[in-house]
Amino acid sequence: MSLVDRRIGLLFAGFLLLLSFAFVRALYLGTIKGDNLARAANVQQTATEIVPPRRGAILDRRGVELAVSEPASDVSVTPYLVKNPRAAAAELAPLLDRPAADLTTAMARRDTGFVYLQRELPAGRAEKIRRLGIEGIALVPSERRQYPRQWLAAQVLGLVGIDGKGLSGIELSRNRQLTGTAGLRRSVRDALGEQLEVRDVERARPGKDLTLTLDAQIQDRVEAVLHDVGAKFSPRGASAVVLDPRTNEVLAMANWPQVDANAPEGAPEAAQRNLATNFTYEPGSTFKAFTVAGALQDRTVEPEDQFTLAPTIQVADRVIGESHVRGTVTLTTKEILAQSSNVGAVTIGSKMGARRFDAWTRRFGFGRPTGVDLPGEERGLSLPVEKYSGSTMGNLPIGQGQLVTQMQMSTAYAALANGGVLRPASIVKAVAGTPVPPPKGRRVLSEKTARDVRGMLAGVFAPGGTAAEVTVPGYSLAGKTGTANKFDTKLGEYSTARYVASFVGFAPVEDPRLLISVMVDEPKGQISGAKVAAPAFGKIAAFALPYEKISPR
Amino acid sequence: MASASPRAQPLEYNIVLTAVLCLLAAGTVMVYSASSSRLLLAGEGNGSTFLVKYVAYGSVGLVVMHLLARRGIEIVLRHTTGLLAGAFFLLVLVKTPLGVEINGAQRWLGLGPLQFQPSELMKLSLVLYAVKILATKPRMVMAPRLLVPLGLVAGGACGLIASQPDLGTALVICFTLIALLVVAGIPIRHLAVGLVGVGLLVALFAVIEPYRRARLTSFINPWADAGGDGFQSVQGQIALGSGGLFGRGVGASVQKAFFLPEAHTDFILAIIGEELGVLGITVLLFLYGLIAYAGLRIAKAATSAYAKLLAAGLTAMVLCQASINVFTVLGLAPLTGVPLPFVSYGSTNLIVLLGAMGLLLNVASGGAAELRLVATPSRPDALGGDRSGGDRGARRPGADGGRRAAG
Repeated sequence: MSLVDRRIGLLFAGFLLLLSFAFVRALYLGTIKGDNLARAANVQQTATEIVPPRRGAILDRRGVELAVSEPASDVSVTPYLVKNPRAAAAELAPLLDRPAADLTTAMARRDTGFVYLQRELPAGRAEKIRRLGIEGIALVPSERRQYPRQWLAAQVLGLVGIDGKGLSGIELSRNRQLTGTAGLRRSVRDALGEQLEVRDVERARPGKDLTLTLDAQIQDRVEAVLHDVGAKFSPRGASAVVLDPRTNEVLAMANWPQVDANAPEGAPEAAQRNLATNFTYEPGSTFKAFTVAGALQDRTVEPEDQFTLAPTIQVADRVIGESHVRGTVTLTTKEILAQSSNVGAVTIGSKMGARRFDAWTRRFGFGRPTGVDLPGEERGLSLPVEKYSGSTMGNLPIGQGQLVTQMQMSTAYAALANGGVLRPASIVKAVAGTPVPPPKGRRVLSEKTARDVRGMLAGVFAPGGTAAEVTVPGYSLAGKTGTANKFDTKLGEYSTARYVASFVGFAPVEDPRLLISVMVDEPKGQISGAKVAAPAFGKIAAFALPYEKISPR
Repeated sequence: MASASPRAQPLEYNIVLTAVLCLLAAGTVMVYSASSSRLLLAGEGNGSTFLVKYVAYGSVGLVVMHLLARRGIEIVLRHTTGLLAGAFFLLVLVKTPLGVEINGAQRWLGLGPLQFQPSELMKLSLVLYAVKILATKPRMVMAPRLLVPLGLVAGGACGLIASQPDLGTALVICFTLIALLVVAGIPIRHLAVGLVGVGLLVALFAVIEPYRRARLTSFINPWADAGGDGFQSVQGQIALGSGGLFGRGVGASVQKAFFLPEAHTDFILAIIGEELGVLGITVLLFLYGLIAYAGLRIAKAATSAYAKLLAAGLTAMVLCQASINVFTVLGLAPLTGVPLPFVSYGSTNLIVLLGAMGLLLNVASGGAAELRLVATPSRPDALGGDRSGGDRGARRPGADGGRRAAG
């Protein structure tokens, strides 16, 4: 074999060695080091992100959307990745509604690797930002809560925080059902971050839609009426509740001043409060109905019993008079309620005695939350009977010396209206289409007593009654005015300048289908329930009765 | 291999042809796979741009191969000096404003949409030139002094190419010439001394330029700077590793989507590894091994010194290029930027390599047989008694002279 041939053999051996070496190396990379490399590939190629579940919508009883969620994105920046903050800011500013200078500052920060530029940016604009492809800008899917009716029932619906959690109202009390569960999405991305393949590891389960008992039309009208009250009497606040006493479904729950649910930060803290459940006041004369109802049920008095009433009555060290000075009169039980006689109510109360009166107060649900499905409901204040002082029974029967919520008054009146059954009001009608069982009721009065009291309350609208000026043609009305001095904690006595004017009523008297309660805190100009609240009741009833297709007499 | 057929070719001929065609087939699939998604994602055309070009250049290359396989030796023997001179001229031309710069390297001559890479032509020309003078003066390998002219020509060419910069092609040339010298019978002692000298030169060359130094260090530990100098290397290894033994399947590479630069050219092996796994790489290595085996068998079987050296030189050229590329992608060699023979997308390289294979086939089918007729009487020298004639005029190349029946 010649040298050349030997050398050719050597060369072949050399190449064979090189190729074998390459093979061994490939095998090493593919198997022994393969796991590590595959993991490195995974890290750079795949991204796992949490898919926020769509928050359930809130609808009114007829399906009108009151709160909906739309896709959005949280825009954030990793400042040191932005090559040219000024140029990036100029591009982003029109899409973010933030001054470019502001954005430049945020993107030029070197003390942090993460800055939010804007949260909950609507999806359309977020997409435009994505297309700009600015390095360092990240978009994380989120949601934006929208209230299509803006002002409507804002305090009832409540608010959702930036993290998607309910903060108040229904959004808070039903947060669990509205939220749903987040999904997990894994996507394969190319080096530029574009998704090549998307796989849902865990599908996001959207939150459940809530159907409320509210009726947007009635709610709208109630808010308009309160708006007029607000404009006319400039009170600190006002609220109204409309419910169907047969089921205690709340058809409207309105507050004044109004809040724009889409821009709640513009409203004062106090305006965000739902006064119907989260505000307590002394009920005043509206409470007399329960004094009378309890006495009737106990047979302490009869409807036609006659009382001879002096201009004033003394209880321990207190002298109680009427709101309008009068001479000695003789009134029936019915007239006492219709004319809202303080002396008469105290007289009936003293005939009952403190213990029975206290029992009836609690029986009607005062002193504890009604259990309506809204957060932060106040319990009110009803003194335990052991703590009554000598003059207490001169206050309580006429609605002074105790604190109630409008919700308590409404449900207690509903018991009078529906024939004697007290049950919590309900505000959520269905969850994801499944009806919510109505709250259980409990009989507190006999049908007859309830009917008797209804008749007496109808007298309020009769000539000589406190609300005689309010009529709704074609419908019989019943109700009770209330004008309560507010207790001035500074002076330690009842203020003569600050009042809560209220009215609770229902219609039609024979078969009540609607219960309407109006509460006005510190009205100015007029102070009486008759002048401030009763007309509002009338306006609401004039709309709601025909709207609910309740046939006139 | 029926002896009845005058066209029957020796086994080696068929092995080389088969391996080359297999590599071309693999290249067609992989160039499309590696380039299409990137093009589509970038919104450039329908993704077949590189496939179409690869097939077009490959077709041209196959025609060249076919022609050279018939009468290649006859042609190149006559034009060796001319080719070399032309290659030098074009290499200098690249330095002028006629040269086209891509990615910071001025390697191409632009002719409208067509681009030509003179360094590839130089690679082949230099091999042909070296083979010719080594075959003519077989004693020169014994005396280092006599190698100086060849060294000067090769050094000049490599210098020009390395300065483009195209270190990869220069290295391929160097390794091929060394392989050629080995085959020609250079004493190992001389070779060792020379290699140490060249090694020192290369080391110096690499260390003075910061970017080359960075490449060198990033080769030693690419993960230390995975986002910078080690990026391509790391991405290549990630591709190989995530392919595992059997790969993700053809077309399923993710690394080709902008992660791995040069996915359809220099780093196509990484995509092959990702999509076809270690298995795919093994098959590829086997095909190169076949070319080495058959090419060197052809060299052994050749009867003339010229043919022996030519076959060995051309085989070494393909194998050197393949080894450099494979070693680079596998992280066994620093980044140089050499296409994978026959598989990578490339224009001039593909045509030149197929032409080289044409010449190899020509040797296999006995194209150099008649050279023996003009050779001076054999002597018991280093070239095993064969010595090609220096006088080209004495040769009478004929169209049919290059073929003999396999036996």
